[in-house]
Amino acid sequence: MTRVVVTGLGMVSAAGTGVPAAWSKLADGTTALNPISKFDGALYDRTVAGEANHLARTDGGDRCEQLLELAADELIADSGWDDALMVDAGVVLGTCQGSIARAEQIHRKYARRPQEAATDDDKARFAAYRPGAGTTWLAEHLGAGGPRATVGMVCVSSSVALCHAVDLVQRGACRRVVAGGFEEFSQFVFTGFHCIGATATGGLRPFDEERDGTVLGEGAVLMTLETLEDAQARGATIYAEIAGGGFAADAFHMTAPDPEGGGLERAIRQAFSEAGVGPADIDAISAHGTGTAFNDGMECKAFARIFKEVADADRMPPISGVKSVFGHTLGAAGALDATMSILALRDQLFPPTVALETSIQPTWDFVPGGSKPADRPIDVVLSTNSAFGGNNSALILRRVDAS
Amino acid sequence: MTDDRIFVTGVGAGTPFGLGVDALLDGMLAGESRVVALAEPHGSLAPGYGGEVTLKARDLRSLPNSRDMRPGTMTRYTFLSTLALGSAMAEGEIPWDDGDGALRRGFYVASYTNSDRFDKYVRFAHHVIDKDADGKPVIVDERVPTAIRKFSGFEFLKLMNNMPTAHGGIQGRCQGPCNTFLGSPSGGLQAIGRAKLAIQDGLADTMYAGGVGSSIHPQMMMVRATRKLESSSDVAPDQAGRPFDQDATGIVPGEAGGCIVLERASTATARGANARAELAGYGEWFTPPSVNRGVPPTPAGPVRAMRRALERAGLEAKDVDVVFAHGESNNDLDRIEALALAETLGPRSADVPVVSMTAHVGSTEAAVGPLNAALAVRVLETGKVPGALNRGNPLPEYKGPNGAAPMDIDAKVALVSVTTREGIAAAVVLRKIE
Repeated sequence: MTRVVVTGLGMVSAAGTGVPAAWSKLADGTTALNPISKFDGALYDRTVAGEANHLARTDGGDRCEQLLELAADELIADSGWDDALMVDAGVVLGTCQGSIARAEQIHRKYARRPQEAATDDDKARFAAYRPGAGTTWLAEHLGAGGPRATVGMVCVSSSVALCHAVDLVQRGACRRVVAGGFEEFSQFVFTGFHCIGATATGGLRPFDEERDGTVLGEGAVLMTLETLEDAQARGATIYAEIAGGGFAADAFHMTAPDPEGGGLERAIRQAFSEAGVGPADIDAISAHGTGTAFNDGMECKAFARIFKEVADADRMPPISGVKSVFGHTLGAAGALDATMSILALRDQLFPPTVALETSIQPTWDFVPGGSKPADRPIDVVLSTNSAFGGNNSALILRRVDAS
Repeated sequence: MTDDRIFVTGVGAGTPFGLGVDALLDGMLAGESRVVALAEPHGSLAPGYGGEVTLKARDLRSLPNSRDMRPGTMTRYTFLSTLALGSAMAEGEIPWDDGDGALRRGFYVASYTNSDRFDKYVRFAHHVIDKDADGKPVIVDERVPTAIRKFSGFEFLKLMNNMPTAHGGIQGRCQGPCNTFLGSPSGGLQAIGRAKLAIQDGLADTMYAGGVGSSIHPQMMMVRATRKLESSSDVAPDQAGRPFDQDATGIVPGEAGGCIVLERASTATARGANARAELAGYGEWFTPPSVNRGVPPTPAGPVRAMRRALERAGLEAKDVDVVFAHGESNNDLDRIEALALAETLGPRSADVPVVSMTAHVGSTEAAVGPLNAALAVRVLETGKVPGALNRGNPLPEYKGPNGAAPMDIDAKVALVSVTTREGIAAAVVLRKIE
């Protein structure tokens, strides 16, 4: 099987523009969540979000394109891909709702004045309405002429997109792919989460007894993927190998996850199988950790069953819930979690679960507070995500020099 | 990876002709168009006609494992997707209640978007937003609790783009790989191609693969109107959809869901399934994108997609007996597609029938590929090929037959192709099982 590696990273998040800004916040155990600025959160009795407040919103501009462009700038500089390499590169992105705020603007206008002719400005907004438009925009922006796909699987969108991208390279559909995800913070999505009782009253506290919901964020997270052979041939920096991926459905309920985590367990086992690893090989876990009662409980049940198989039953790898720092970036979450896992491999740090006080699994190590230097080599990380509708994903990220 | 062949054991559809692929094929063989004047005009934004699906909740509930499904919790996209999936499950006699069999089943579906009811949220915003003395918008505190009560969480969740997969996964009892592809009319064929790979990679034994389109709602109508892609309203509705015809004036709104059931040959054989055709090959190709501006400059993309599909099927252009094409009814894109067909089929272009359903049901977005694949399966079974409706003045680039009368042919190989303005071309090859 062709080995596919990550050779470049780029991201924008509530922590700022750039991977170093995000990693610094996470490693320090400092949350990047900030007061809601896009609308008055107090009206929902909610105060914080993971907005990229360091970026001014341009009037009429597309927030998703703004996020993607900045992430792409860093990605290209980091990867060293030039125009010649980009020309046949694929672009595979995940998103939950795409440029939803533009659609929000359009409909506010048309709901009031349905007979009014569309302006030129409207056309640009309409064009961005389709969730898949971000992928096309990025491909054009980068000059990437290879395979393109947009995965719309809510919170597992970008992790499934990474699986799809790896598959394209392994099958020879293209030699390299830009993959990841994007999401903008919008009142529409916030309202939806609020209506279903999923928003936290305060911070996002994954795996805490007192957790009471999630905090929505925004961001764009991109990676360059290519074959190990190509990366070595051009002397590229190799961050990690995406050694395996899996995704599986619960078929349990339209919105609630299988409370036993059956789908997540199957996704993890599929990723194990693809990577040729088992529970004993996993050195760290990046969990979805939304801070909701259902999700975190379900995840723990799945992890408990899987890692029970390890000979030393107490050897549950440290588990990180990075959404406590960045918020839940929905369509970008899988790629963001994977990026933090890759940096954990690079710097040999267990990323923290910030704001954790009373763990729902007291004997497990959720790395509360700040990051923790590895007391043993971190060679393989499991990164998991789950979504409304019962969709689950898992990625196995491995240090190349450890394989 | 296994070497097993992939059989199609069921096809399903929800179209303006009703439930099931036979209803669609019968209507097309009869030369009917279901593009009609819509009961509710959509302001000044649309031509006022389209191919509308009139199926109801009771139609869905008549399908396997669908009795408890609630269309009230679905958008139009999701509803159409579940109709198509249920219809395919019924024809395939899928043993959906087979316990652990669910672990080996998956569902891939394609859709432009799933947000046809977004207007409700705008009404929410309108409910809570007012203007202050300076005319600036402000949120009125006391209205928020009322607005929140009016909006159940399910109204929001309906709009998540994975909801066709989520509902379909429950309906079809799929606990294997499930995915939603967004953004292009070729997405439905991409879903089929990826589903084939999922079986060949050993991730599943049975995959449902489909696509859904719903362009008769304000959102998509506004998009097309502003991009000036809609058909003119100066022609009769049943004359509006004109694939590969010089007199075409633009895209005709339509809606539909299409789905096929793919099974590993050994699985299908073991359960005594009716193997209706073999999914022999899949190909895709990408032209560098130009965001919403025009169409691909050359036919190279669709040509490569079709050739790749044929190559993977171990076939050549000379083996193709019938083609199912997109035929968007927009001259710019239809010219490119016609050139691609002529280049791919070569000297046989003049003889190979080219079927397009656009004249019959309008543009069905991401459903077009799976619907055409489903039609192709039926044509391979019956040998009955619909005529070319509304193609009396073909584009010079179009070299195929354009007779309106249906044909009887001994079709053994069908080529299904979707060419898109997004520059994503996809094709599948279906072969008759002798």
